[in-house]
Amino acid sequence: MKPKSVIKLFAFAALFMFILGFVYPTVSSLAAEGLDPFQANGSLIEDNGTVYGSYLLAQAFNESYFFQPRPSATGYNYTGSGSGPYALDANQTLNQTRNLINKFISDNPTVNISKIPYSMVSYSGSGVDPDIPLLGAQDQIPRITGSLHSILLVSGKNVSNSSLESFLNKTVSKYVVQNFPLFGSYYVNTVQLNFAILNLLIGYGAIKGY
Amino acid sequence: MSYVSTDSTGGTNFWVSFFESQRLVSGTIIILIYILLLSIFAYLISGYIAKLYRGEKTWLDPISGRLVNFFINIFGEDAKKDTKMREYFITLLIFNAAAGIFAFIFFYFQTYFPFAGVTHNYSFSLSFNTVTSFLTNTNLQHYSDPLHLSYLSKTFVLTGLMFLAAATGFAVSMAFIRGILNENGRIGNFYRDFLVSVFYLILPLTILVTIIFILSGVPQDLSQYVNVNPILSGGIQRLPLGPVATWEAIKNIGTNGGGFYGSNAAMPLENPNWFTNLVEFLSFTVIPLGSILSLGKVFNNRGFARTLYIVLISIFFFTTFMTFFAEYSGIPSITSLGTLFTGNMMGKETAIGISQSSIFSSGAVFTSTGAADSVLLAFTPAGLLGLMGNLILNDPLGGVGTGVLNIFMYVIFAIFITSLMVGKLPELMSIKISSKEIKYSTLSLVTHPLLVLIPFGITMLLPALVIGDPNPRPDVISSVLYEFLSAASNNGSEVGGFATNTAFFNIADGILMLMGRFILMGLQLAIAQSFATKSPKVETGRTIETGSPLFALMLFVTIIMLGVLSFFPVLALGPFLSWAKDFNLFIGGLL
Amino acid sequence: MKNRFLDALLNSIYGFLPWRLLSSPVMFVTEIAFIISVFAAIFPAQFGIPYTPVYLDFYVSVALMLFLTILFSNLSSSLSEGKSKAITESLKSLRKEVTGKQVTDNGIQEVSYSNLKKGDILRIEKGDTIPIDGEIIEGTGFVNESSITGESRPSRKILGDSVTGGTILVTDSLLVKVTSNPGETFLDRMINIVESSKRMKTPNEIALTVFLSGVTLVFLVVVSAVFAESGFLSVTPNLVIFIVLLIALIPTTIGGLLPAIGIASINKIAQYNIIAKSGKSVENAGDIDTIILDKTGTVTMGDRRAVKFYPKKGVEYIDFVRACALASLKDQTAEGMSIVKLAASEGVTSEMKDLEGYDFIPFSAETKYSGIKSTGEEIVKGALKSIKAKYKISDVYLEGLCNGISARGGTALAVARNGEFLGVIELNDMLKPGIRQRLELLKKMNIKTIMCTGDDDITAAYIAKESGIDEYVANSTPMDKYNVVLREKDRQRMVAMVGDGTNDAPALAQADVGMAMNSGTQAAKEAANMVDLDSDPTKLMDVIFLGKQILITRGSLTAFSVANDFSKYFVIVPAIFSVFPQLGFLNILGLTDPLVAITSALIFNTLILLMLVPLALRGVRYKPTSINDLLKRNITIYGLGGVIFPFIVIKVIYLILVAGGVHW
Repeated sequence: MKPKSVIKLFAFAALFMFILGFVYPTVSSLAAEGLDPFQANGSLIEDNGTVYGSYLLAQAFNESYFFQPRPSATGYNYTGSGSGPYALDANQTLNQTRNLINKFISDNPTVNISKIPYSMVSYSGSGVDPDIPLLGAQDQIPRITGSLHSILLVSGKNVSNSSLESFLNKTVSKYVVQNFPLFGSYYVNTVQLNFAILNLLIGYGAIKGY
Repeated sequence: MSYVSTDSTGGTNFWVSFFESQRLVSGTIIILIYILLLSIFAYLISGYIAKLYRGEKTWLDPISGRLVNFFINIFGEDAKKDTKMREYFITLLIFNAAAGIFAFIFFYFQTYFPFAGVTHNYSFSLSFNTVTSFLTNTNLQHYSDPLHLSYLSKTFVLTGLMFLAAATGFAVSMAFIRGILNENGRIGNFYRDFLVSVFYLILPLTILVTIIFILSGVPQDLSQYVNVNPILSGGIQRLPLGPVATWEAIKNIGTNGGGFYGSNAAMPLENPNWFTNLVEFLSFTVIPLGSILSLGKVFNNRGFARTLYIVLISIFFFTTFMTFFAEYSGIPSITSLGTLFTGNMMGKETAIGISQSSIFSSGAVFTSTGAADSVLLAFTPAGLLGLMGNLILNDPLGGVGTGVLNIFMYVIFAIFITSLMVGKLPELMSIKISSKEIKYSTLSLVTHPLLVLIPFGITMLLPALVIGDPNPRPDVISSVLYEFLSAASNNGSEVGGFATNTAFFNIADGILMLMGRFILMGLQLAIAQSFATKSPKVETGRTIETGSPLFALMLFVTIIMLGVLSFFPVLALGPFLSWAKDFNLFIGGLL
Repeated sequence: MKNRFLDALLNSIYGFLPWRLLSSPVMFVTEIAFIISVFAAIFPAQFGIPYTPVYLDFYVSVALMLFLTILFSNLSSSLSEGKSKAITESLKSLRKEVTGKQVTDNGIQEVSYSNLKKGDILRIEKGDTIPIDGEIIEGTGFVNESSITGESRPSRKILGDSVTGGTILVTDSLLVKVTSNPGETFLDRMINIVESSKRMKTPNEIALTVFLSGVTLVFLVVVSAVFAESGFLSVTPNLVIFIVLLIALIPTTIGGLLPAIGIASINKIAQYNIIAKSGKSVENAGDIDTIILDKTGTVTMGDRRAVKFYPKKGVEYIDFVRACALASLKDQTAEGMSIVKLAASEGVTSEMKDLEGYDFIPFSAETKYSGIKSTGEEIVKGALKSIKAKYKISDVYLEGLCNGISARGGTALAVARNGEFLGVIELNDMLKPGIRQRLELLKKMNIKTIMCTGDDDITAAYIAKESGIDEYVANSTPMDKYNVVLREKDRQRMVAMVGDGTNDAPALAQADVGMAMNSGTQAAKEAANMVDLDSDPTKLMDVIFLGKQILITRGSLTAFSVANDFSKYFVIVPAIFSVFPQLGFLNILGLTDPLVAITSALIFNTLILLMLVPLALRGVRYKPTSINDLLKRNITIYGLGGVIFPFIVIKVIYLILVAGGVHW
């Protein structure tokens, strides 16, 4: 092959890496800003310029009045990945799962083990799975009811357990979706649920902001 | 067992609670819907692809045709002449080498280029691994963390290579088919085929999928990352952002599979819900299957396309359902813990679920995509074995373009054996197959096991290479085998467990990927060249009927036998040994 | 026979020399495995493998089995080679170096065989052995060709015919022009071809060898990888057991028999009394799409006989018959003689003395008539067209008669006296017995038949219909035959044809399979790629069957051999890894003693090779049928059978070994 042809090929490669690799995504990004800025930016939860998270990503909701997302092997780190270094049949996985079950039961003592979805005691793949099965949310309602009741009491609001419970049930029902039309299983997004709870607390003046 | 609250579904309908409680049935239906939709979309696009293969007019001519001609005119005679295999292949190699060199420079020295952001430098071996894996349509993610990729690395280098690799693959398939159709001894022009692949097929589909992704919640912006203050926790985290939607689109359309985020499609930002999961699945399977179906129209032989469809979909069914049943059943140590077990959700996302994770992963190894919406390390041994089955067969449906080439290798070989069994000399599309083509196809078929098993054996002899893996040894064997299978078949999915970002695995994988891609392409183009001088026999009704169920059976058996024979003993000590203790549960789940 | 077997056995042992096995990678690997296993059995400690008596017994039996595997493979090809040696020997015995009587300017000289050269003119007297190939330039005679064809009845050779060195002239004397130099005669070339047949691989054989080598290489790597893998799992691997695994996996069955199949094919075709110039042409014959046949001699008996006289209105029947008889009396062709005979049965006897004063007008290709002529009278017989052309006459009634005769497949011969028609003789040519059934078989195999004939359209159509020919070319010339070959080749079809004349040579050379008759001219034999010594054109179909059989034998044995591996896996893999009881689910045969199980698999591997030797030499049964049915049958027998059969046999061998008290 002639040297000139080789140079042409190098130019061809560079040109198309530039057009397809650089120009295309960059132009798309600029266009997307106009198209749907909310989703194009990652469904971010923004308030006064501060980003508090994304509806698509779980956080470590450390308070007991929040719905707990699935356990994370990466500590809900956005740049981490995976469900830990252990294969499913490794002994470590077994111990890990036992610990997670014990923790879930100690957090939610009213729940029978046979009502705990396995999802709630196994790591998600991304480490930031915001979604939990419907039953996983329902399991947590008694604990959250109690927890909300006491934190509201602290700030001087006595809200009955039953109204809190019906609020939580309603919220869960509002956000429940299926992971495939008709045939999917039901799940809820903990970020959405927890923002509803946050708004409730803010509404009652129990906390000031995010 | 139903835990649907009545008010969420508007009354407890019998079917609603049936599908909610019978997850095995629902999952099976979901998987069947996936396969049905894939078949429909592939069929719809196959006519268009057939036109590209035959060089006929399409409705995109006014735009794409002009773009192609514009660039052809820029590059002049080199882009116009009709070449033979040798020149075609050399052009392809130099073009890929050029892209590889540019990519390596920009990637290895990314901190010195503009838009470096918060990046740091990657090691030589990791840079080599990443560039070769994106160049060869493999897309291993030894780099893992998107924060450390500069904007240029993400776009110019990696997005660029994803386009180039896909278009190269499709171009080769165009040349191959031209070789069979032509009688003038020429197989076409690489420039032209590349441009047609880009402007007629890959770019339009990528744009379409990009738009769908953006509308479904996948981010697409110019920022490197955004600082997030998690609620009521004080600490600040960096959330990597950027051109995720375009990346995702070409990742899937081009059967590349390397994710923007380390968790690949498990990351909710890449794949937020069932809809994106379905779109991703369809977008990485539709071109490979559509290309296969198009062969019926290209060669005026619908039976042939039907045979290929039946054989490939049978394999897909088998491996997918093996994975799904395994994931649904779980393993005894976990299921006996007493929780409500509706499938092995370890490493899977709630919004995707067992069945959709199974078919997605299965589809990703059935094609050479290698994307994952769940963690393969956390799959059950049988589930992993189901996935590995596809890799053993060198990704039966292949990547963009390469799928057509791979299946032809099997077809030529199956025709050879079948013809001998009925006392005929082999013919493909009424063209006589000479011993040369059989030799090349045989070589390309044995290349895969050799590429996998040689480095695998070496790794087994040097256990220090995987010393960090905490898992039982049979699992480690599976992971190592999977690693090399994935690299050699240009798939790119990984089990991990041990540290893959080491000099040994980076370099070994890199070499495997290059050999697995370009040796095969060379052999396949040589076959095309040899066919290019031959003209077809005027039908006499005496050829092996490639549309007959018997030939479909022979092809199926040939594919399975070649795979099983090469890997069975090796599998025995890895996945089988891991699987052995769960075997009864799996069988029980099936019954 | 016994002697030949002993020879073959000796040859097989000689075949153990490693370089003799290089052409068959499968057997080469087996040999290396054999050598290693012998050393392992003698020095187990050096190989780091256990050497309790039990294990030593095992090693010795492994070495023995490997020895037998190679021996059986060698034996199969030696037996084949022995056969072809026997054929060449008998051919060589014909090549007696006799002297020839060369005709020179100085009269006749005795010249030794080696001094003869192309272009010499030889005189052959009655009783002489013809020293070298040649062509008759003068004289007619009967030649005994039994040495070549086995046919004891001498055949008549006339001007222009070729004669073969080694045959004997039994009547008259001939002048023969030598057509080849010593050492290049037909016989010499045949001997060369048969002798070298074992060295030439056909394209299909090469492709298959590549596949077998590829598979062998893969299995070598697989077994090494498993060896490494078991080390990784801290299991001490036993080298000998892995050798057994390797040998059980590599396709020893087909690899060991492949050479024998190739040689056997050339032998078999030689048994048909056909000399094929290459193995490739025999294989090609198996895949013929189109056959071009001559009508005369192939489809029909070739000797036309008069069956009826049709005088013209106004001509006395007896008068007409007499005229016919007279016109044919000097005609020595079969049809001429049959006319005289038919006339005699009608009561008209004629003798040579009746022809006094008449000259004979011989038949020529240009005029297409023959007859007698005296000063006052001329009687001719010939095709209606040519008589019409000769005298510029026509007769509607006769033309109708002729068409009628043609339409029932006969040939009409018009007779005219002094420029006026007398009537027509109906000649009939009979279909060869069994030709319809043979053509039926070809149809079943989807092979297209094209018949070329010099007859007119109506006759050709009739014969084609009667015999089941697909297409015919009427009024054909040799050029037409060539054009048909080219047309079919242009459609990329594989063409076979038979020819004997010099003008068939171009077509023979173009055809994929061209079979020349031994009775044909030298040019035809040169151009063809096989020569039928018996000069029986229908044997082309036998060659087609044979070609198919060879391909099927190879394909089926390959399928069988590879399918066996599947079953062997389920025996050997669980046995090797018996330290992992979890893998018991792979042990579907329930063979509890791992070493005995491994031995059983190896014994099976060896025995199956021995059992298939006769099949390889004889070829698998081939019955012409549709491709689909054939495929179904062979997939079932060799594919499915190849998977199931080993399971049964290995289990039986295992039970026998255990019952025989073998406990390792």
